[in-house]
Amino acid sequence: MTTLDINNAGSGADGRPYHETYKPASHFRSKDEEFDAVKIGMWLFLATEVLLFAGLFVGYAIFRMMHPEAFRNGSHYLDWKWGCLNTIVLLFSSWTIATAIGNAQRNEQKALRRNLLLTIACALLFVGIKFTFEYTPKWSGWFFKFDPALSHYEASGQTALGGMFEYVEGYGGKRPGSLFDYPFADNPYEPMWWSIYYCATGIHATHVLIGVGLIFWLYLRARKLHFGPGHYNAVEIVGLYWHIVDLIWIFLFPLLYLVH
Amino acid sequence: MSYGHAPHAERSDGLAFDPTDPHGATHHEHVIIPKRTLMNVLLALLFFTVLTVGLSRAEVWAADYFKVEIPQWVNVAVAMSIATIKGLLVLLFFMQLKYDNKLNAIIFANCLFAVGLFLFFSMIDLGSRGVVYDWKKGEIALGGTGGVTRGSGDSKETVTGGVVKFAKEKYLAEWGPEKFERIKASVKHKHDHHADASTPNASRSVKGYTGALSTSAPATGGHDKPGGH
Amino acid sequence: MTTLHGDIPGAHGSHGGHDHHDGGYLDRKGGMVSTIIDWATTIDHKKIGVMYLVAVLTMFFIGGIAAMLIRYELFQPVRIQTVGEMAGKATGTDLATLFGQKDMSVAQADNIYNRVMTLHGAVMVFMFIVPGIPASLGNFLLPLMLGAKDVAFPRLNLASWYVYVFGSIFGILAIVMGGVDTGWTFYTPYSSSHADPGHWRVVFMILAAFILGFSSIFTGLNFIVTVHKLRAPGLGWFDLPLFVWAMYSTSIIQVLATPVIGITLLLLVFERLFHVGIFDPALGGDPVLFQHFFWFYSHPVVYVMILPGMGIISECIAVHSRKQIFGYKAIAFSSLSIAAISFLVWGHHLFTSEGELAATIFSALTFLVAIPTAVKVFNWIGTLYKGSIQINTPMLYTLFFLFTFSIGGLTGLPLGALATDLHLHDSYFVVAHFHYVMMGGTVIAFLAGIHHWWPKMFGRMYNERWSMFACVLVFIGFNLTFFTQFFLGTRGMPRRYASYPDEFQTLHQISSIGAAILLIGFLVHLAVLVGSLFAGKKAPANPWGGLTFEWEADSPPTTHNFHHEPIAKHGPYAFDDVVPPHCDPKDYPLADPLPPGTKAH
Repeated sequence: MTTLDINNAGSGADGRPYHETYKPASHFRSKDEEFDAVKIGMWLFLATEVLLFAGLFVGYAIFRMMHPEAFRNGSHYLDWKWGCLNTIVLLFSSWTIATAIGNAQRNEQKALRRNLLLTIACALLFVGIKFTFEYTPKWSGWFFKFDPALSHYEASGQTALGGMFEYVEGYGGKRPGSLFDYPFADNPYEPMWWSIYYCATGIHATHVLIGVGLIFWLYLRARKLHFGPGHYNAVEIVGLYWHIVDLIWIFLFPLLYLVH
Repeated sequence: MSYGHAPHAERSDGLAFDPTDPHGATHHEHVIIPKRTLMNVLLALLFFTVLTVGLSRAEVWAADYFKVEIPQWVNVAVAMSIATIKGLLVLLFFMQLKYDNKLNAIIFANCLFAVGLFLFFSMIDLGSRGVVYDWKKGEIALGGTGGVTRGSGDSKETVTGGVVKFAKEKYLAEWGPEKFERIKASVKHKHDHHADASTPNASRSVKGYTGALSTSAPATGGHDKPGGH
Repeated sequence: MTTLHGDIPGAHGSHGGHDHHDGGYLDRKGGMVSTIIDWATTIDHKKIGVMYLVAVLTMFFIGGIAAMLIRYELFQPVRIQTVGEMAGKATGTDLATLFGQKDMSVAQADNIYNRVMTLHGAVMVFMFIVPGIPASLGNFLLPLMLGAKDVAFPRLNLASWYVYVFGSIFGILAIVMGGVDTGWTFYTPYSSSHADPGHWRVVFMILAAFILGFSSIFTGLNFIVTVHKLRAPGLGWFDLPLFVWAMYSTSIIQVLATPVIGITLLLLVFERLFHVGIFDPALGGDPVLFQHFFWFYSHPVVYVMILPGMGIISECIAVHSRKQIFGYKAIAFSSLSIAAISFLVWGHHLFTSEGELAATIFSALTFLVAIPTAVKVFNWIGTLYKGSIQINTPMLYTLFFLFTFSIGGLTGLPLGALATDLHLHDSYFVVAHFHYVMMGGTVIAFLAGIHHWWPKMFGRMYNERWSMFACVLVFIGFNLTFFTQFFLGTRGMPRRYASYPDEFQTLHQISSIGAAILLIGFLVHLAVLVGSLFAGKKAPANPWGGLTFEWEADSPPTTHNFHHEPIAKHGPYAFDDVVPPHCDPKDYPLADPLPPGTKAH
């Protein structure tokens, strides 16, 4: 038994789509008030997200201050080309979801669905690049067959997964903390760099994957015509979430890949 | 009258407020940002991304070509300024702060302020250890004191000393110095262009680890006790 | 006379008026099963508040049992008896004996003590006192005080309760699996590398605190939006009850500080599972960094614990003195400034481990907290002056609070001063100070609040005589327990030890006896309150003559809180000008009645 009418289930009896018949929850005075409240709530949540990542940024700043050479070496191990490509992918996805909100406002249902799908595609591309071309070789030394970086190294001839991955001797082992096993490191504090790198990008990638789930939920609802000029709260706040994920990457990218 | 807020214009029904909007929340229209604006913002963001990468590459090139060491803060300042501009673009246009309820901007500003406090005070402490007593400056052991057990079953091993040193020695013991040198030469280390890249001691000394730990590892700093001053 | 039930046409927006008179929120709507399902799926802030009240008081009980076990062990010191050639027979390991372990070595017995001590700290901090007042009384009262039907996000509110229970289960699991001996602060490298290596229970305890953080964030976020968007017509910022101001300030801290403990504990879990080394000196990390991370959250959060208590005291003191609160704005803004300053002083927990420069800065900043806190205390005393003070349980607890909280606050000053802190650090002085603020402040205010709003929450009056008796017991027990600990601390008794030199025994015994009296006091309270549910007189809508919105609702309130959306026509404490709702004007002769329709402050 719910005591407040906050669900407003389904579309109206006359078959009009949900977003046209939508009524705000009964403890709000109007749809505008609800929209405002939802947005304030989301911004407060975004504040908590930023402060969550603040711990990683502070950790980065302090270890960089204490071991500048280890961090300089660390950024040299990363390939700025992958970082740059991933930045472009995320920026583009931010644009698609910002456009999707406009689509909902203008009742452009087809474009709305297309932009949501594009955003999901970009998010998956981002995570895919991260795992295939960055995490896997650095952690284990196994390169994806079509990784352009493979040509720089002397291949050991070992392959896995039906030849899809090739092993490079002396490349892997760049792992955090005690897991570190890379024999050619120059600075004794390099494991700290990898700790920060994996924690920061790993937690960020988790946020990207959560975003994929949320946007997919939006897509399913958009297919049922839930969003339109009369009601697009969910698109708006998931959009805000997605932008904060992008915003954090905008700062992680130069800190990890470019500052050296 | 209520303590603070300004009296609203008198209404015909004798109430000093609008019953459907008692707090005078602005009835701002839901802003629909033109597609063209969004596209321009995206283009600006992409431009700045290319710019920051370009400047970083240019710096490496210049340092290499002219054989000079450009101070690190230049690099940091440039990269962070561009990131801030990009961040502002996302906040103002994609996240609509420019058109939105000002409260949301205030919330975000407060959050950034809290981040600033966190960063500032933590860095003050960790950057200023040992400013009074020299004995706090001592570095316990390069890369840590070790003694960490990792792995499980047959591959279980105890890391002694720094992890980096341990990894190197393990490799040498397994494959010998010849292979070590050969592979090391084949692995491209892009930090070769820095003059001091291969000095393990180039790291700034770590200050102020828990005093008791210095008994288990040689400290490099002085051992003056505070009582001696 | 001002009418309080004026209905405004159109004030309900698009929904029209509530012409149906629905029953009280506690009314049962069917059999046992459907009642349970009704409560488990409710999005009514009042029911969630009651569910939270039950949950946090259960945790208070568990933490209290641990406290009693601690005092039991400390009743006598552990002595190693040397009888002839037989060396090393220990006596006084009472806790181990209690658990049926008669022949344990001293080290093993201490191990049990450490686990009980951690259990007490972790349960009391993370599961009782942080969510305590905001989630129970706050949830129940905030919408009522604002004249709203519910909090802004009712489903998030219910989710927060489930997250709280889920997190608590993790904590209980860690205890059942053998307990944790890290202390509630989880300091590294002990917690990351040395405490019970290989065991999952430490990870579970850390995860419990991590999960509980989410419930805290959900509550805080909900309250901020509710205060901004759902105030009744005419209710301006400076017409808000001071409890709402306190809750608002609390919520700001919850939202801004809690995520940092989230990342800290997450990194600690990584540290334990993968040895990433960020906080571990063995791998080149920095254990003091953990302390910075931890206290960036945990210092502001002590104000999450105390600010709601201060809000309750502001309400009780005005209502039970029947007087306009002295310095409304000063109290309101001091809540906000406490919230702001709370983020600047965390380093005073690290005086012995951080660098001298930071210690000096943090020490200086720490003294700033004393200003808004003292502003509050002086204003409360100013309110009492010439008020018509009603001596009843809430008021008695309010006076109790003023006494113990002042001691707690003032003993914080020597701890904030660098030189004295080096002596008092990690001693029983800190324990006593902390308990005078947290227990003598927050728990006592919580009790004041429970008694003040009990008639509103459950529609029953409790037995005033018995609960005042219990209050006196609590007062005596509390002061015996903790005042002695100031002496123990200054004489050098360190905290977290299972044993002590013989000369401390008398003080420890007084403390333990005090704890027993305290326990009896709480049990009497429990009996009185539970008894009132079955045998108490039916409570009137406004038993104390309060002026804030919650007293306009029925006792207990209807499902939709109010029969009509209330409208603010007078200040929250305008006792000089307004007859409280549902009260007989004969009982409230006004000094200088204003002409009808005039808004008074």
